[in-house]
Parts: sequence; structure tokens; C-alpha cells
Amino acid sequence: MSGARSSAFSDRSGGWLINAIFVATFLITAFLIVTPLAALLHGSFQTGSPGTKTVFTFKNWADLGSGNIIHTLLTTCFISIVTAVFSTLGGAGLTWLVYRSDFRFKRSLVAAVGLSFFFPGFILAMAWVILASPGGIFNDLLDIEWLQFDIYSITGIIWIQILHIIPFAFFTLRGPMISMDSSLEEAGYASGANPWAVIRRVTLPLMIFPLLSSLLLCFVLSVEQFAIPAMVGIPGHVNTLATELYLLTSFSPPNTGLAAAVGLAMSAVTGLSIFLQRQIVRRHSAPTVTGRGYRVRPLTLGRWRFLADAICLFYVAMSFIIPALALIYTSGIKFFVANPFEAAWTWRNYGQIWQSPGTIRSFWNTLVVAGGGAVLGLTLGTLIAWFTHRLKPRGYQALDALASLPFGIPGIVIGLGFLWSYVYLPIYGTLLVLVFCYVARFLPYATETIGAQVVQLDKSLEEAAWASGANRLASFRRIILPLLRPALQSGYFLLFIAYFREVAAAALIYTASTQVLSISIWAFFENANWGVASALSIVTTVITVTLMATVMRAPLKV
Amino acid sequence: MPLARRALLATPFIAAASRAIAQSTDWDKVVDTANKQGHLNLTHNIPPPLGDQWVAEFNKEFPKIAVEATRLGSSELMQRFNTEYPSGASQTDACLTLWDDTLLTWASNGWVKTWKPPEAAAFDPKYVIHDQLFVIQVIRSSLASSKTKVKETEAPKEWTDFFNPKWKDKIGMDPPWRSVAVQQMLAVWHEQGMRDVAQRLKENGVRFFNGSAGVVQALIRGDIWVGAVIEPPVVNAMGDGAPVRVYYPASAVPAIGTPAFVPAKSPNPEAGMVFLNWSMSVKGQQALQDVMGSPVTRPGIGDPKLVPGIAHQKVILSTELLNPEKQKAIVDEWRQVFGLQ
Amino acid sequence: MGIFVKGLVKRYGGKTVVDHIDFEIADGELVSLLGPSGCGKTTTLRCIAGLETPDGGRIEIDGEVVFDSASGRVVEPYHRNIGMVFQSYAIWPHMTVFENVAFPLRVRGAKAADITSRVSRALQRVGLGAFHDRSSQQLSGGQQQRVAVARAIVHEPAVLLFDEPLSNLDARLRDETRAEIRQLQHDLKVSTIYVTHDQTEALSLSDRILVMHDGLIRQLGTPEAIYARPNDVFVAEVVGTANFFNVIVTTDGHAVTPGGATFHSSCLSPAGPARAMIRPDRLIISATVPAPGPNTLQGIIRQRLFMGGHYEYVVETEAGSPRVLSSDEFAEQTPVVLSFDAGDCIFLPA
Repeated sequence: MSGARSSAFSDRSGGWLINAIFVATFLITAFLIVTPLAALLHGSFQTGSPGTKTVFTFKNWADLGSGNIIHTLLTTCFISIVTAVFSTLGGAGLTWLVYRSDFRFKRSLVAAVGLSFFFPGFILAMAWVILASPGGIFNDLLDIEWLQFDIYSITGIIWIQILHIIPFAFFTLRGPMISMDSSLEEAGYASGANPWAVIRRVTLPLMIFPLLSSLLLCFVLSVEQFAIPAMVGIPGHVNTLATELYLLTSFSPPNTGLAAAVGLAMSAVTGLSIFLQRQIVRRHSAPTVTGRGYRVRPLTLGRWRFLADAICLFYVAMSFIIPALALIYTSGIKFFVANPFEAAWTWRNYGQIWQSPGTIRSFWNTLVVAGGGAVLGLTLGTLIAWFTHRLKPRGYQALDALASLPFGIPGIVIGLGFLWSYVYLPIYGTLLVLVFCYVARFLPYATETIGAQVVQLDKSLEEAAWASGANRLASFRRIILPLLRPALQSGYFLLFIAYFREVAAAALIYTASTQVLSISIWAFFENANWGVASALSIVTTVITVTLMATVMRAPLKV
Repeated sequence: MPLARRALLATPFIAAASRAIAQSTDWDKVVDTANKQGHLNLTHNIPPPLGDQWVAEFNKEFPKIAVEATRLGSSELMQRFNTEYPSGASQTDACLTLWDDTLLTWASNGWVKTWKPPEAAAFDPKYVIHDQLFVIQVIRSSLASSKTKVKETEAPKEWTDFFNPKWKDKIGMDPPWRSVAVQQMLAVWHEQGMRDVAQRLKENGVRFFNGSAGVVQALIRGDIWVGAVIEPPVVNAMGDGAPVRVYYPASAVPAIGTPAFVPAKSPNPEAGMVFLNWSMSVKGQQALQDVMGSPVTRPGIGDPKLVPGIAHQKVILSTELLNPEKQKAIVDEWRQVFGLQ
Repeated sequence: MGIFVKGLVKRYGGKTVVDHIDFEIADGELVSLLGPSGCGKTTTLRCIAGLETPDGGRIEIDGEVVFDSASGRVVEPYHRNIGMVFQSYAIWPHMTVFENVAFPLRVRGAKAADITSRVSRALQRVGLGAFHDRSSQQLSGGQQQRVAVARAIVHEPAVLLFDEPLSNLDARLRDETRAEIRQLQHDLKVSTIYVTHDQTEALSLSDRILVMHDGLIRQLGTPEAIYARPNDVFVAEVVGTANFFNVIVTTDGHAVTPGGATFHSSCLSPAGPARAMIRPDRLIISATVPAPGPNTLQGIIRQRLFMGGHYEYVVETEAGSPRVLSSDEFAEQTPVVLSFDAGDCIFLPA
């Protein structure tokens, strides 16, 4: 009844401080996001890149309708939809197993998922090329006529992308999955439904917002994926929009105008999808975290235990263990040989890391950009989620729309926008540009993750605080923030990894002093120096895992 | 000989000597200034970690100059400079990249410094463009094959062998839109009378990989058995003992130069000049060749270690054959055939 | 003192949910807002709490104006000296019992020793003295409810607001808790508004009941007054079970049923069609043949329910099939006679 806007108490300005924060949030978000987009828009009507002699033209937009672009678009959609569905299902299944059942290897699974999260896409692709390319290990070992693996195909792309994206689904669904009140499911059991039916009819529908959220996230992640289709699709003559853009921007003769047009068009489409998703969800989101009986009673798996174990083991093997082994193997040999016993082993790859001053510097840069930048991104994302889902002051729809904009723009195109717009500003060439770029690019990740949890918090929890005499700020700090903690942790993790893995956007705006690890690895990798790329990946993974473990353990005290 | 006559005969030598002395004093000043600047921003497209190795050699001679290197693919490098320089944001003191006609546009725009590095005197004039762009190395295309899958006797030695149906689904290359070097190779094939190349290769099941490095990787792995490659990835692989071999067809060797230049405006101009000059010196050239495996352009440097030198090859440079229209035509045709915009 | 509400209006979209209502609650008085869902009672409560902003009217709490549409004055909920118990209890899951209850004191800047003693007292009052350090996630529904009450009273507010606090408890717990709430409120002597849809709660707890329907006040009065003298059919049904007979009022206090029986009532009403209302506990049931006269009805027992302390019968008569309570036992299908006093019969508008 009183749900049209949240408590009418917020109809009023709610104090000048809240207003000021809202305005500041709005302006910062607008600046971060509109600047590169405006540059892109400008660029899409030009015949060449800034700095060259260009003229105004509509040709780029007209070219969007060409047969090849449409074909690439359809291919991309097909790949991404299949990937999104299976990644979401996989992520939901895994989070359900870990947080709502008595699955016995919870810690290990979470650790494995967390670790595989660290693998940038091209690492995973590289590992799978080693394993499943026509000349790869599987074919060599198995040597079966009729079962020849060829990872250079659409199926290959989908397979690797699913493995790559499931961790994202896992971490966005984690918060809601943990917080759902068990009594809602128990009501199902009491009504005579077996666990399967309860999952289908109670758990899943209740999780619609988080699931849709996750589905959308996975879809977009898949669409933006560059490294995997580049590694695995191009040899198989499969082209996606991301690789198409890469071609348009990176190789001569470049067609950056068309790239900008494609990027903007993609963003319009995904922006629309997000808008639709929000509309659908507005009618279905039921708070599942109330102040009452917040308890999770894990479901006993019983006989199904073995199946669950097997599935998880399979997933972990495919997405983490085997790629890690492939990585370690590659880092220790001079060049690839399918049979480890015939390989030329060496420490040289590790040695070369330390000989490159640029690489050393990139360690520190990455810490700053990913570690520190993620804090900024998370703060901004939390503020936006809170304003758009709970407070809803005047203009919140605009903020929501703004924050969702970067969702569908591939990293490389955002990088292009940042390059064109920031090149005139004094902060160009500093780490700040990278931070701004990443914060802008990944803002929707933060808002979606936090937002999914915000929606699940029953209003009465906050109202009780107000009724008890705490003003808005105090209520937010003492009640809401602690309750948001799972989502905040997931959100930070998500952002850190996203920043850490980002290659395409950084590639266009980094300079010698602002080189980050992902660029270093990618550069080695792109020049087929997989040995050093693998070695560097392993080193960075070890370091970042240690760091993250420390962070996750730290209690959130505000 | 009477003294006066001797003196007269000696005059040109004295003049030359004094000119040389004057020049070297000027150059010493440049080196001094560079050392005082103590800093060099180098932008290049040399695959890692080779670039660092080469720079390390530079630092042996010029330890006072700290080098910060930005490594970008040649296309991205061109784009970056194209955007940064006119807006005044460029920090580059010296630049090395693959030949692209856009460089000429930059030169005529006045973005590139006109000067005479002392070492340039030793080079063939065709490698010194307007005293602005200095081609210091030549990257060549060749035919590579896997030693484990392809017997020596069957290995492709000529470009036409590449199309042999016995290699169906087992051939690989870097696609032309990725690399000007490949475009040059295709232009050379066209010159030799090969037609409908894209279609024929498509029918033969050609696979594309990320750059020559990707092709070499695929060869080593056994995904493909035969590939069209450029140095240095294949040279490095051979240096490691990987089972690949290369052949440079006798009919023609497509090649592309790597020009170096100093931008007209830069934070440490003298440092850039010193570096460029060093890159053209004997030591610099030798180091470059050792590290990259491709032949350098200074006469007198021996052949590269693992592959033949250019002396006895029919090398065709991209500057002789390619122009933007041809490049576009090639890329368009291939994109058309392989179904890409 | 107490609570003063005048001309309160609240609209959602096009619908007026609270329609210009006025009432006053004296210092220390417990008033229930009783009505079916959608009648506006919860909205009214939330307006008083400050969780909703009315569209018009004036609200005073403890002498202070907390809302006045004329002057535009609005006081935030956290500046109104209220204590509120939510229907869902809204116990914060990440805090212990102690922390939950201490919260209102903490935000008011009370000293640690003060907090400890006051929280202990509050917990003891609600019978949870030993529960200090329990995590709120380990509590049963009833215990959570008590924590919610403790939290609402710990800072000695001017006004207590209950939003259907017992609706999620089982019957026995409800009965127990009801009595305790009543006792608590008496001890604290704090003005209380109690929103409920349950007539038993309203009747047993309230000093006065405010019956609401469609955003309007239908009747305001003591439980006995409302029970015995409802204004209309709606109120009659909301506060207790009612039997209705269709009658025609002939003169003041006299009416006839379609079957010819005569009803005498001690209340005056205009002539014409009316509904005679008699409570089930006011119909006397007997198997003996009566002397014919007013306020009697012949009937047959159609249904009998054993309620523990008494029976509930449905008796079919010519004028209707009323429910009748009696401690006497009769078999079903027994012919009986129903009789009642004039004072127990009210004629209500049809």
C-alpha cells in the first residue's frame, strides 16, 4: 500500500545534507560518464579520429545497417544469450549449494570460484587453446578419430565464456542467496512441495530480481568479451562485435567513427534492456530480508550429495584446476610441447619479469588503480543504489539511467572515449585517468550488486531506527550498512577483479608510468610470449589472492 | 712536395676535419644536454621483453639517461600519437614503429624533427626519408612450417606452395587488416600474378591468428602445419629450439621497414636525438638485430644469427609497392571474402 | 498532552486513504484503531509516527505540533518522542538483543551505565531479563516481539505506537501477550495507539476504540459502549459477532419480523425497514415451550459447536439463523425457543 514511492518521509528533502550528497553524487556520475560518451558521440559523426583531418558525416551510422555488422550482431547475441543463461544457472546453482544446503566442500568451492575469478579471459582462453585446439593436449592424449576437439568455434567461445563468467554470477547472487529468509522456503516444504518444487516455485521466483540482474550482467559481460573471441573465434572465423571493434580501432586503416557508432548503438540497446528489466522487477520484488526470523536452515542433500560433489568438482576442474595447471606448465617451458616429458623446462620466464622495469612499476600501479579505485567505485555505486532504490529523491531516475549507461559499452570503446576527451585535460597520463575510466566503466557492476541487496531489505528495519530516534545518516550507518555487508564485500571483490582484469580500455590510455599488470600480461601474450605471460599471471594471482584474503577477513566497521 | 702545395692539398681534409670536429663538438653538446635531461620517453612497437633488452644495451652506453618505454602495437601507436601530438599531450621523445604512410603526413605537418644524426651518414639514402624518418630495420615475411608435422623435403619454399591443397585446413596467417606487413606480402603476391588469393585460401581452410606470434604459436602446437610469418616471433621461437623452420622464397621477399623519428616538440629532445643516433650506430644496430632477429639496414652489420641476411634476397619494401588505396583495396577484398565488415 | 489529531488527510494516487479524521487521545490512554485492512488505520498510525507525510491536517504529540499543513511544519520521525512496535518486529538481525534495545538510548547520547541499567529494566519488564547477549537471530517470534516492545519503551517515549503487534503470534501466546501489553501500558501510563483488525484485542486492551472504515471514523467510544450500542451494521460486526434480523420498525422501540414476531428494543429509531441486532451471548436458548410474547422466537438447532467453555449453536428461525452461545447442552435438531431482553436488542439502519 505505501509502496508507490518509498516512505513518503523521503518525499521531503530529508535534510540538506542528504540533498547535498545526492547532488554531488549526481554531478560526479554525470561527469564521469557523460564526458567520454559525448566524445564518442562527436567521434561517431566524424570521418576520422581526433587530430586527423575529419569532416562531419552520417556514414558511420548508415554503415550500422550493413549486412556484415548485422551478421556479427546476431552471432554476438546468440553467443551471449546462451552464455548468460548457463552462467546464471551455474552461478545460481553454485551459490545455492554453498549457502543454502549442507554441501560439504563449501569453503573449497568458494575459494576455487574466487581464484578462478582472477583469471583474465585470455588466460582461460590460452589454457583452453592448449587443451582443446586441434593440436592441443586432449587431441594428442586421447587420439580418438571421431572425437576431435576444436576450440576454434562458436561452441568453444561459449564454453570458455561460461567458465569465465560463472564467478561473476556467483558473486552477484551471493548476497541475495545468503539473505533470503528460510521460512519462505519452509512454507513451501510444509505445503507439501519437495525441494525441487520449492526451488522452482519459491526460491527462484523470490530471487527474480537478483537472477534477472545476474542474467543481464552475464549477457553484457559476454557481449563485451574481447579476449576470448579474439583468441578462439578468429581462427575459427567467428566474429563478435567486440573483436569487430578491436579491428576497427586497432588496425589500419582504422575506422574509429564506425567503432564509436557501434559502441553507442550497443549502449542504447543494453540501456533499454536494463530499463525494461527494472520495470519488470518493480512489480515482483518482495523483500525477503525482514527483521523476523532471519535464518538460513541448510537443506540436507542426502543422496544428491554425490551428484553435487561431482558437478562442483567438474566445474572447478574445468575452470580453475586444469587452466591453472596449464598456466604453470606454460610458464616453465620455452615453447609448447604436448608431452611434459619432452618439454624444455626453464626458469627464464620468471626471470624476465623482474628484468623489466615497466613490469615492476605495473605492480604498484595495479594496486593503486584496482585496490584504491575499487573503493571509490564501490562508494559511488552504493550511494547511487541507495538513492535509486530507497530514497528516490527527485531526479533519481536520471541518476539511475546515467549509472546504467556504461553497461553496454565495450571497454575498448570507453577507452576510446576517455582518450579523446581526457587528452586535453591535465590529468591525462596519470593513474587518475585510469581510475576514472574504470570507475565509470564498471559503475553498473557496483550499483547492480548493491542494488540487488538493497531491494531485499525490508523498509521497516530502517523505519524502526527512525522511530527509535536515529536520523537518516545514523540509521544508514548503524543499520543499513552492516546489513549490506555481504553485498559490499561482493561488490568490492567484483570491482577489484574487474579493474584488475581490464585490458581493452586501459590499452588506449595507459602510458609508461601508468602501465598496469593486465596490460603487461596482455602485451606478452599478444606477442605469443605465453611463457612470460603465464609466469606473470601466476605471480600476480598469488599476490592478489593474498591481498584479497586479508581484505575479506577485515570486519566492516564504519 | 712544396709546403704551400701540401697545405693546399690538405685544405679539404682540414676543412673536412674541422667540419667533423665542429660537428662532433656540436654533438657532444647534444649528448651533454641529454645526460642532463637524464630522461627519455620512448614509444615503440617492439614485442616485449625484447624492447627492454634493447634499451638495456642503450643504457650500457648512456647510463645517465633513464628510459621509460611505452610499448604499443603499431596501429595503436599511430593512433595514440595522432591524438596526443596535436593536442599537446604527447610525451614521446623518440618513436619507433612499422612503416605507415601516415608518417609522411606527420612529416609534412611538421610534427617530425628534421635533423641529421651523425650516424645517418653511414646509411643508404633510401633509408633516410627527408632527414626526418630513419628506417633502421627491415622486417620480412617468410614461409614457416612445423618440423614435427612437415618433412624437410615437403616443406613449402615458394609462395605458390602455400596454396597446395595437401595443406588444407592446416595453413595459417595473420590477416591483412591486422598488419601492414601482411598487406605488403599480398601486394607482392599480386605482383607475381597470383589472383583471387583470398578466395583460394578460404577454400583451402586458412585460419587466422593474432599476429605472426599467434601463427608461430599455432605452428608449434600443431594446430597448423604451414604458416606465413614475419620476424621476430619465429626467430625467437627458433632460438629456443622450437621445431619450426623458415624459408625465404627466392621469387620475392616482402618486407616492411621500421622507421624511427624524433617528434618536433618533446619534453627531452636531446635525449631523443641521442637515442635515435645510438639506434643507428654499430652497437645499437647490432643489438637491435640480435634482439629482434630481423636484419638491420646499416651496412656492415653481419647477417642475423638464425636467418639469412638480405644481401642475396629479392627484398621488396612496402614503400615501393603499397599505398593507402591499395591497402584499402586489399583489406576490403579480404573482409568481403571472409564475411567481415 | 497525549495525541491530538485534526483534519488528517492522506492520499495515495487518486485514492483518499485517510479522509479528514479528528480524534484525541488523553494522557495515559490506550486507544485502538480497529477496522478491516485498507481502512486507513495503519496509515493514520504512520502519519502520527512521521513515517508518512499527510496531505492535510494537524497532529500534536504531547503538546508539540509535529505536523501542521497550514504552517508547513513537519517534524522528522526521529525527532518525535515516540516508541513504535512494527508488525514485523523489525528486530535488527545483525545486533544482539541488548544492542537492539539499547539503540534508542545510544542515538540519544545516553551514558553507558545509564544504558545498561535502563535496557536491563526494559528487558525485565517484558520478561526477557536473561536474554541480554542473545543474538537476535536465535529468537522465537514471541521473543522478538518482546524485544520490539522493550526497544519501544526503553527511552520512555511520550507516545507508544503499536502496528498489529500480535498478528503473527499463535493464539495462546497472543492471549498471554495481550494481557502483558495491557499491564505494561497501565504501569507506564503512556498514551498509546494500537492498530489492529482483531476485535478481541481491541475490546480487551482499549480504553477507547476508534472504528475506521474507508478512511473515515465510524465510531469512537469505550469498548462497552461500542459493543452494546454500535452506530451501524458495520461497527456492530467489527466489534464482536452480531446477529441481524430484518424487521420493520413500527413505532419507537417496536418492530415486527416478516413472520409476525414482535421485537421490543430500548433504543429509539425511526419507522421503516431496519436491522435488529442481538449479540449471540444475549440470546437465551431454552427447550421449554414459552409463553408467546415479544422478544421470543421459535427455532430449531441446526448446528452445534463445542467451544470448550460453552456451546455455539446455529438456530434456524423464521426471522433468520442466528448464532447463540450457551453453556447448556442441546442436541442438534432440537426445537428451541430464543428469547432476549429489550435492552439487548438494537435497531440499526438497514
